[in-house]
Amino acid sequence: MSILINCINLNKKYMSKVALEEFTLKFEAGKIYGILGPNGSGKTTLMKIIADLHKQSSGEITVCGNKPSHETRSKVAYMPTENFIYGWMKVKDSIAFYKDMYADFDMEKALDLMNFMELDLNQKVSSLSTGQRARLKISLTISRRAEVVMLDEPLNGLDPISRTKIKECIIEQFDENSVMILSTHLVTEIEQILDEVVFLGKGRIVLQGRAEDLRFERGKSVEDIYREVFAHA
Amino acid sequence: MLKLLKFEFLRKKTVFLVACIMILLGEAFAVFRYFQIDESVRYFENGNIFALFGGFLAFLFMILYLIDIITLLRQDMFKQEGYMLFMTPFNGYQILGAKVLFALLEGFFIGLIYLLFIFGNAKIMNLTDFEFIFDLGGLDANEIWIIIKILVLGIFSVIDFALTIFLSFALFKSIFTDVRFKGPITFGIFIVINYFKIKISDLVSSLTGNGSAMFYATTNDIVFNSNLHLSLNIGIVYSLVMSALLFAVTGYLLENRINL
Repeated sequence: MSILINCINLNKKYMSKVALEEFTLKFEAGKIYGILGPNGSGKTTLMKIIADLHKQSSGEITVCGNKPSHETRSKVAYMPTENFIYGWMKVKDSIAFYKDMYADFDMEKALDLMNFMELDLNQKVSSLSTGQRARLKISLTISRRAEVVMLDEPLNGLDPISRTKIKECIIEQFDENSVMILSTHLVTEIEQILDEVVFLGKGRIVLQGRAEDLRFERGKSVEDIYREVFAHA
Repeated sequence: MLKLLKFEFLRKKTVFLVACIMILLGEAFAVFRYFQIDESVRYFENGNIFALFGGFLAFLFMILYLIDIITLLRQDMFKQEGYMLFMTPFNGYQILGAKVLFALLEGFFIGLIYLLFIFGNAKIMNLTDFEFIFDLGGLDANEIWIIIKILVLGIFSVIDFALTIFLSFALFKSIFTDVRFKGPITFGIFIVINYFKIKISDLVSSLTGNGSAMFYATTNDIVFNSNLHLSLNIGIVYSLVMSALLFAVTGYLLENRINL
């Protein structure tokens, strides 16, 4: 398996607050990784460093063999938790934006996803509900045939129907040549689709391994392991 | 780069439309008020009324333009929606370059609208003193050169100004990203950069024996520099060098140090 992301002793500080500490991990192609941890554990910081939206304070990172830069951004499809799609756009404008900006954007796939997610192409982004916005964000992100796909809290604030739709989408769209990283604290909802799990607490890796192995070794679901690991967090 | 420019235009489409409608409504109101003024006052004070209107319009356009230049990068750097732009595979220099180019084109467009209003109102107000403007063919080569240089200097000054604002934002979002009191610090950075720019300008001026001063104001009059070409050349080179420096530093910060 080829290594698509290599993090070596990554550290990130915001003033005196440590967001990521000595984070070392290799992300391999063909796997879905779950970065699990409570709020403020460093999940988003890690993703933003990989997406080149934040710079690490120290340590090294390579994405598809290069340091994060505008070049790696062409290989990374990142969906932040924030409402990052311009409110003045219509849904169809946001699709056109992605088509213009990313060579790996699959227009046909995007239109299919919009249909699947029941999104009106002529609706303005600012008038979409929270669930609709989340569905638009994820549709745009996974419509790219990127080597690295990162979804930050993809199920947050969604109704059960939307959650099911998004999970179906993630499984259906996953490409064996790419790596997918999902961050969440809603473990139950997503644990069935994870190959690898990384438990992150206060910026450090607390536990890490294959989801199947951890379940077998501890005789517990990932959700229960999460509760055990972060019982005092 | 063209894709980034296209995006900037699409983003401003509605703002331009609303601004144009508001300006047209304002113009209609101004013309209506003008014809309400007593005819004798209009006869004797027509030139002053026109100058007042032209000055006010220039001030208004300038303010709107400045606000727009400030929001051009600020929106993307300080709002979450900016991720959408900064996640694209364009480097910091390209993103910045598109914004500077857009600011220039926007300035050119605003300038055209301004001239349109000025000429339109001159016609409405039956002002004939401005006919010399249509007589540009009568200018000699030297005068045409001066006009071209003034225009070039104006363009570089706009770029210089826009980049000063952009650099303060970039510094704030990179080196000063983890500090409190965001607003005052950004403004403080802007003041400090301008302070250094003034100091450099003074230095250039003293090194060239005040050759960069275009005119001198006395108590009674404004006297233009006898060598206007030299002062314009110095001004252009200064703005060009300053813009290049500001562009390089801001682009570098956007590409290598940014923390959105």
